[in-house]
Amino acid sequence: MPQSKICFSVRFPGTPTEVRRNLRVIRSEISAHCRDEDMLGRIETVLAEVLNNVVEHALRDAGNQLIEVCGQQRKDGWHFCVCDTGCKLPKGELPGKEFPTLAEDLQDLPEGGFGWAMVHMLARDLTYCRSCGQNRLSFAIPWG
Amino acid sequence: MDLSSNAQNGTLVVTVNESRIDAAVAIQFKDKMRERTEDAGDRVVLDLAQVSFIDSSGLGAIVAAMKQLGKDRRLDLAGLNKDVDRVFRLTRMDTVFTIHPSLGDALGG
Repeated sequence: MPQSKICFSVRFPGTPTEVRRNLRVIRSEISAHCRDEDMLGRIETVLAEVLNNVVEHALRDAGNQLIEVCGQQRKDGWHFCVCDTGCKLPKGELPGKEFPTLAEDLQDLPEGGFGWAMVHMLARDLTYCRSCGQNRLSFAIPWG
Repeated sequence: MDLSSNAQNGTLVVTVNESRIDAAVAIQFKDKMRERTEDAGDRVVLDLAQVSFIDSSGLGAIVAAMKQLGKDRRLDLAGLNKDVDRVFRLTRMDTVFTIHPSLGDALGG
């Protein structure tokens, strides 16, 4: 692998507080090589949704397990891989990209269901696989 | 979750004194908003100028805060930073809320 490739990896316990802390760590890692604030924002949004999903679903009954995030800068953008040892995604598939309907009546407005839709809008090459008891999600955030 | 509030010309301004509204604090935010807006009049402005990031849980909590106000009161937003604004635009929630560039604009400059 060429030495010019810029990459990092972090491992942390699967809790909301640790997700928050490590999103800051990751932004700081990437911003050392990338001054594109729009890119940094899109990366943080996608990682936040993916990591929150791991904590709220995959690790719901196993909060002390670790999540690993690896990132690498390439010509076409930043590539990421998120791994955890929690339960697999329902049906072994990525949730879809549909946004919840915005009801006209205020009281019927959705309060959730936006996370995966935003991930699909901002990320490319989303790939999920389950092997040896591990979830592995990879994706790329393209340059703007 | 640090929120402060004050009434200005009949509008209750609630200021978020935090840099993030995310999954770690979404429930707290919703609860604190209920406390702050209980006795509000018909208009509340949420000043987000200090908030640099929200995720979908934070967005859901802001929607919940608006629903808590009921039909006769409205929640406007002011001072969205770039990353916060992107989340509102992507989810089309910018079509649900009235969004003002700054608190000054929200209060009529």
